[in-house]
Amino acid sequence: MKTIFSVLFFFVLGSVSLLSADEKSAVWDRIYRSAVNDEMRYAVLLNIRELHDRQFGTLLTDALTDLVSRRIELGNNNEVEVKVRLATSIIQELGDIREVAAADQVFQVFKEVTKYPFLKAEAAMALGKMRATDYVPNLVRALSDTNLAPDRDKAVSEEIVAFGLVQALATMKDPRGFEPVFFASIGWYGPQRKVKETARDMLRTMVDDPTDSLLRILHGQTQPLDKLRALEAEEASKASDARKAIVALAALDDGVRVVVTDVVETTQWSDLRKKSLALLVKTKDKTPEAAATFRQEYKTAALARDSSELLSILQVLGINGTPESLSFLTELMAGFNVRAGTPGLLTDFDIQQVRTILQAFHAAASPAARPVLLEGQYLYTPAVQRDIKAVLAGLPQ
Amino acid sequence: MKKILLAVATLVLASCVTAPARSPVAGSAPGAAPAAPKPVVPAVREMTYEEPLPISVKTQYPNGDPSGSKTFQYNAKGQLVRQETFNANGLLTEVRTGSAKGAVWRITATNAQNGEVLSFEDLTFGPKGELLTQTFSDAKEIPQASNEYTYDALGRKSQWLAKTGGGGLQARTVYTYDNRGNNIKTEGFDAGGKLVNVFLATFDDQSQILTFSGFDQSNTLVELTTYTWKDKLKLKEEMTKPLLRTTEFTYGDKPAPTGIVSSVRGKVVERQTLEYQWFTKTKTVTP
Repeated sequence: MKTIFSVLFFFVLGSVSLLSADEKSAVWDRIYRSAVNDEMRYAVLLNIRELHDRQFGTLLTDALTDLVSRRIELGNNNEVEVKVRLATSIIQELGDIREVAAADQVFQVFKEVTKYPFLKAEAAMALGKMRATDYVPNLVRALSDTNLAPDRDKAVSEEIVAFGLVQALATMKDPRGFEPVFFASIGWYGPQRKVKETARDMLRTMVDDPTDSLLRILHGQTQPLDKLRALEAEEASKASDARKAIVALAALDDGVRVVVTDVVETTQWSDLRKKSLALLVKTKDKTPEAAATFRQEYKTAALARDSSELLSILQVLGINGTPESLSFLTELMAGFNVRAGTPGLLTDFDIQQVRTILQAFHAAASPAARPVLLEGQYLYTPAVQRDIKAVLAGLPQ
Repeated sequence: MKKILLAVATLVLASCVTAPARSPVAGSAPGAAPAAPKPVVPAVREMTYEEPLPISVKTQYPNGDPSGSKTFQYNAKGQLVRQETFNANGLLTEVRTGSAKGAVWRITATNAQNGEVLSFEDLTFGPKGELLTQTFSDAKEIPQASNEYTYDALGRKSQWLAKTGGGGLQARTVYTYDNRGNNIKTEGFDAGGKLVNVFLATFDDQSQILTFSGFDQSNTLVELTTYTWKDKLKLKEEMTKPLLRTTEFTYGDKPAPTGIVSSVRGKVVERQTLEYQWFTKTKTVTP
């Protein structure tokens, strides 16, 4: 028996595909238009949605126009319930078939509906699916307002709408939508509606390079935690390493300039600086101007006796490897050399710093390090001396 | 999805090898006395064929950005067991699960975000796997609408009744075939039995559809679609009435489209990529 490729009965989504669906489109179109109440219309719509056919775009747009003109929220409970169900389904389908010609009507629903947050959220999401970018400013304003603070009586509704707005702006992939989605990711929303979690996920993909937006956010925010979130968003984005380094340096700069006395805030600012350093290491940044910031940060960290931050700065200086950074490393090494000449002056942490400086010199691989290394090659313990010799051997002539 | 179904569904049987299960007339020894006439048993042919069901449909905006995706799982009969719908951002938005409920195959649609049941779709099938009824119910299991299908002796759909949730007739559609099994005419009647739509289709000698035209009750042409084929694969569907819509298909090594590009008035509006699971099925047919 020969096997052939064929399809006699083709089941998809559990329903059968007929030899042609075109007559189905015509039949449902006609039945919908002749339906005398919303219950009947909804029943037809269930069939229409099964077909996922763009041919229904005009019918669905007309249907939504009719619903909007009849005021969705006007009527007794039963009437409104059916209208909301019908409008939700129409809007979902208009979004699924990306019928951008219906964007005006869909936005009208978003704007006018006040008591049905799920319908409002569906309207926002449909605009997103259609990529109706004319409405980006409206959606941006709506999400920005919602991000500010919850209305105590409407917090749950606001979260539902915010979820839809986040999805909509993320789907549109319009840079104008980035900032409100970022603020949604650090906003007041609770865990149940997943607004923050979703917004955080969307930030990674909604624009290719969010650097400019995140720099604006970074400079505009005063709290170290918000700045840290901006930095994390940049790190998670698809921006190039060079662009990520710009944000890391800006955050570091902010973190170095700040003067705080509060213990909790001190820790938060330190976390921001460390995160910045980690990103600079990851991106192998070589910006010459950064050396001045590193110098300042070294002082700040030394005063705070933050050993991990100090060691991170030394590591970054080596990766930066510019003459300015090497000059600072050389100064530090020279200082340790002087103290090494007097027995008992160097602490264990000083030795740890010396060894990190040696690693930094190795990473920078610059002959400019040679004099200070030669000077120190017999001043330290045998283990450190071996490290110095190894670094010297690896330096270009 | 409709275009996918159409594309695959119109891959008409190209050939089949017959294997008579029983000879039409039983053999008799030469010269023997004529035996009493035996009832004539129609010859039957057994045919296997491969049926594709999509397991992944990914859609993209014209610029290539993903606009959503769906994944499907089926049981051995090809009935939907699970369908997941993801939006453009990769977020799971809806899950549909299929399971037997008595004689009915019930598909339950659930909002993936909050777990709420959205609706039910109950399907019943005939002995050859043909869909007999399809009933849509709301989350409270109240029927909203239903479809009923009947088939002729050759297993071809002959009638479709569209009904309300309460069982009232909304529309009746009747299908007519030529002697090669091509659906050449489809007539749509309203609830009062008045003919309101007629669709005519033409086919080439390979039973490949060439044109599909729709007429309203005043016999005015309201829809016209032409089809382009090459090597038994449908390459293009071009609707010229009521407006220009084009659907182009590309294929891998099997005759089910793996790429679909949809355009409206010459402008690309959507791209799709598809993957299938192929089911080998056997069918007994009467010539």
